[in-house]
Amino acid sequence: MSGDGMRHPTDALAEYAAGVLDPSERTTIETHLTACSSCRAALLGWTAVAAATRTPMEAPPSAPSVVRAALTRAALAPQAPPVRRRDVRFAAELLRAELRLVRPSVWVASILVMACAVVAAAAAGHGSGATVLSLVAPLIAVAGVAGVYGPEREPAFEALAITSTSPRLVLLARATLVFGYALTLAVAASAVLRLVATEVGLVDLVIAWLGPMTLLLALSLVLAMWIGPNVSLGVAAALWMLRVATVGIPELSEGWLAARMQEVWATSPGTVAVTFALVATALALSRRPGRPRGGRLRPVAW
Amino acid sequence: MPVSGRLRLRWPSPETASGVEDPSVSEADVVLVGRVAVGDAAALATLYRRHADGLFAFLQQYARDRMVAEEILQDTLLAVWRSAHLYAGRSGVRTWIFGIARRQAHNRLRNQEPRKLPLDGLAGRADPAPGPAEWAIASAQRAAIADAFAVLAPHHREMLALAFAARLPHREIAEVLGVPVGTVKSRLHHARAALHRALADRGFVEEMP
Repeated sequence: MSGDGMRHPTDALAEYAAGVLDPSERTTIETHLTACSSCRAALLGWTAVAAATRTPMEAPPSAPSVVRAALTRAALAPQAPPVRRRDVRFAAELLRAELRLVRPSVWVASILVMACAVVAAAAAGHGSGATVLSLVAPLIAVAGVAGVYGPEREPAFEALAITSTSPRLVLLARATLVFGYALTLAVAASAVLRLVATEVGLVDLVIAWLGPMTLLLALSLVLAMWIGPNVSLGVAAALWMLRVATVGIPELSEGWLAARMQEVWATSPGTVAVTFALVATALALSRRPGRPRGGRLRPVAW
Repeated sequence: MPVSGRLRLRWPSPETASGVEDPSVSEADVVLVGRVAVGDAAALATLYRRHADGLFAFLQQYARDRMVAEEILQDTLLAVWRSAHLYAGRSGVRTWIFGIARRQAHNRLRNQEPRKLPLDGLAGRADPAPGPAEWAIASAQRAAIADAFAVLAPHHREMLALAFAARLPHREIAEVLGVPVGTVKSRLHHARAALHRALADRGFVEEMP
């Protein structure tokens, strides 16, 4: 093979000198080198650099010593927690962490209000259990959610403000906790009322409050994430007073408003659909970084 | 010899088309990283043994100090131990480890040597054709070259250390540095030219024309 007219493997000479080419490529280059003095000269330069680069070369430290040193340091200096992937385990850990941060007063207040409602319904008798529960259970859930978020109510607010978890996601996690708790309470209350007053079935009792509770909670959650917890609580309280008024004030219990209220605050396909839409909105909002705008408002009198 | 089908598809390079097992796509390494990710210290030791020579050679040449090189080696193993669960198989295990080692070296050497990368376009005048310079370098004493190596800019030393001390193929150097293979080749030429200039400054070879 002649040195003229063939392609010089200039680019491969450095790798040849380093010894990283596989046998077939080596053979090709060696064949070329026998015929090409300019490539031999170029290779000499690379070979010298390669040899120099490896000159004062000592053996690496033994594996046990290096690994022990590295692991000792790992144990002595705990690292900052890695940014976790947003998966099921992350959600479970977030819920568990938030569970510790929700103030005990939220749990205690909820159970006290529910107990009063059960006593009142049992005392009134005559099938009033469903009505009382449908009025009280949603309010407990919403007040609970409003009570677990915001700088004024947050024992660990400073710490939360600097974490990578979005405040909206934290709010969502806490709303989930409070909802689960309110749900449990209301089911327990329904069971107690079923035992005390046998004229209403358990399923009817649950249906009476389940739809209104989830709808009101979803609505207030979206408002809390979008605007802020205080606005959310205000709107939810106003809506609910309207509802209570149509039930409790005889002059309002007939007519257009009462009929609308019966439709809206019920467990029906329409309200379930609206609830799901609101929860989807809340989930979408929870992915946005930053804090709800109204987070710094003073708490409303409650 | 058939190598890992999945990774071979990603790196259809003639450099790995035949011959011995390519350490950059070793399935054994991937398994080891998986075990390190779940806290297996023995797997970390095995992984280290497989790459200790190249890794320590690179760090010694880059840091020019055995003690510092050992510290960076520890930093690297610590980082591998802590971030093994983040290894996603997008690069070979060897280039992943070298990438970590390079970052750890930068972290530790940052205060000693301000890192300044030249614009590749400006240095493009370096003549890739073989000439008297190659002969000059070849004739200089090895020790003289090693001295000149010590005064090289860190990015030149890094290139030479990756190519000749760690003996990474240019394709893997490109992965470690996050640049195209062509850039690796031109940077390597510039590093060699810088080495020649360092030799000339110290009177070992004649000034390049």
